[in-house]
Amino acid sequence: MNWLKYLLAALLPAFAVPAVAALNIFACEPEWGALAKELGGDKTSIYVATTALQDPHRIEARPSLIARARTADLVVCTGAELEIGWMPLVQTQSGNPKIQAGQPGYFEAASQLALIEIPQRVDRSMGDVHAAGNPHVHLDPSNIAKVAAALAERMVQLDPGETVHYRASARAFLERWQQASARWEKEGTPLKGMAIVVYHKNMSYLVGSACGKWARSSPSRDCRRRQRT
Amino acid sequence: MFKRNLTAAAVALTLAGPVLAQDADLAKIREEIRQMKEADEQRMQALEKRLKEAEAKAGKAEQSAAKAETAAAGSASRGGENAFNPAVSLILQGTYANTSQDPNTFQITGFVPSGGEVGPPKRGFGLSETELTLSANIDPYFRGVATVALTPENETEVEEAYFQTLALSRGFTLKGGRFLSGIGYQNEIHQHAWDFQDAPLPYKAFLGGALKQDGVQLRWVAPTPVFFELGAEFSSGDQYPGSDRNKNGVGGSSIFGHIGGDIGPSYAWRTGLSYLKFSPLDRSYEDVDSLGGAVTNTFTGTSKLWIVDGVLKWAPNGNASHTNFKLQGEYFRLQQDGNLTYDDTAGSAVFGSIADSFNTDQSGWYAQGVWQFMPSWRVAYRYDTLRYGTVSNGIVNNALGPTAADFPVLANHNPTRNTLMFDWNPSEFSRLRLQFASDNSRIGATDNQVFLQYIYSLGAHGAHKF
Repeated sequence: MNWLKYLLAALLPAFAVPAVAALNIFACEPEWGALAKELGGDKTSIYVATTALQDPHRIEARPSLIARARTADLVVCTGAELEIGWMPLVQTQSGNPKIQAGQPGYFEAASQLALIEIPQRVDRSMGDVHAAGNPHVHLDPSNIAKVAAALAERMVQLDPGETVHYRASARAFLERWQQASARWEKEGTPLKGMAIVVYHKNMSYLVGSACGKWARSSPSRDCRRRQRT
Repeated sequence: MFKRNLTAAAVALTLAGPVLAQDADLAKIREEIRQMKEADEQRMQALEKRLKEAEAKAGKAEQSAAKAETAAAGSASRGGENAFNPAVSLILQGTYANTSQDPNTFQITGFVPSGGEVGPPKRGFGLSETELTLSANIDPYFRGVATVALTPENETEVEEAYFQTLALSRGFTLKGGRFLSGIGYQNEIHQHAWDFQDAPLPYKAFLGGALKQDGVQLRWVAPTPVFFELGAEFSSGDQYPGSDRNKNGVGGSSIFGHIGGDIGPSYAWRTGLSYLKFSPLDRSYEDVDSLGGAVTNTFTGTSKLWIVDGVLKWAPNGNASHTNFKLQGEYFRLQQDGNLTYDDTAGSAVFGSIADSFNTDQSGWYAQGVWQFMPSWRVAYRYDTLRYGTVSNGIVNNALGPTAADFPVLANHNPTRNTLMFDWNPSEFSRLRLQFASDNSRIGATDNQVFLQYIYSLGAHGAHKF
């Protein structure tokens, strides 16, 4: 039965429970993972569900996501139906009551912000539009500041033992963010008024919501949409 | 302006210098200058105050505009009696079928008929089931889902109607009602989400298409980075391979486990083992004896089914938008032990009702690969095969009268099928499929099938099941 011992020895590490950090965070997109890392530091253990090379609209509720959501204390997602294809399934299949909709363990960045490009009328003939507004909120620096403040407070709510650390990290981050934002604005002044072409409507927050007309060759294929601003 | 006035006054005074102004005049002028200064200062202060107020108002206006935007967005979904309406989605589907054999004569020779709707669709234009799904959170503790199928024959079937817990801790989820069993891989996937128009042969032969359980399911997800779940179901056991027993207690039970994870950013996999045990009581099926008369065969005993399933998905860097590939396969083994009663009293009435032991040990498997080679376009190939294995029919073996020819459905045969499929998906919600199959389910006859199918989904966004 020696082979059984070796098999178990080989498999056991796969089942090792991860080291207990104060707060297990499941971030839907890399930007929120990075933000949570800034605010939480080594008091948090962060898993990012998607990479920047993946379209968050097309993700499936695969086993690794369910397993990671199972042990999460806090889920940080964009919301505004960006993850509607997979996050609700991950929540209900995870067996984790803390991260269900409406619980403090589920944090949606879009709920903290005023979204732009909210459609007057929603219909699938317009393509797979987002009824609550444009969900790609992370590209506007002022949005990151607002979300950072709200996220830090949520971390405080879930892990009150580290309140001082989270609030101090948030203050330090927001200060650096303020300075960086001012610098970016200055660096961006030569780009004012320039016309650009974008692949998908996810650049609206970066270039400002005062965008021009869409030129559409096919209503349902977002790769053929153009935005000029 | 203030400076100019003052300067003007000063100049005037200087020019008038040599002329000695009277003290009263001087005092009067000083008084006027003082008043002008005061007035100017007051004006300046008033202007500054107005500017500050205007800025504050602008700031407030921005905030309230932002609030109004979010409120406007929210009010669309908030308020009124419809606020808590469930998510509703409707599936519209139909098939145009061209089959070389008559669908009404379909059988999977060698295997006890499973009684499900497992035959090919009717020839020509045919509407498939229209599925209506409603789902919503009931309260912080429970979620509810119902899927009702409206058949082209104008019947209403409850596919699924279950509640699910949200608030159990430690990784447990309890489901109750009617639900697709968690055994295997494809069993839990709704028919409109399948990669082919029809179910694989093992599902048709051993589960009647897909197994629905009326009962409870308890699932546990392990707190490990590798996905590991265990599930157990207790049900009435009245779906094939069980039967309606009219007995207290549990009629059927199943237990299953799955392990899954990622390999790098591009691969995701899941594999599992399931075991199902039903105890059918007087489960009957119709057949025809060697004289052409109707026969009813009734089985009572135990049915044990094992399933090994596996699925592997690939997408470049995990992004399935442009290209992706999915490989899946399942192996089934069904063992039935009990008694079979042969009854031809309603037909030829040669032997009457004869019973003896009946044991089967049969298996089957399928493997399919689906490849999205460009956005919106997929091609897939599937191979199914069933192994006749051992069918030990006591009535025939012990020469009680009926011979093997009186059990034509159970003739020794190993069905196989090859299927090729292309589909076009203009969006996530619409699909057009062309499918070719060469089906050897019937002994001695090959059915060449061509299907053209449409599947459309309206309403709430569906879930991307793995």
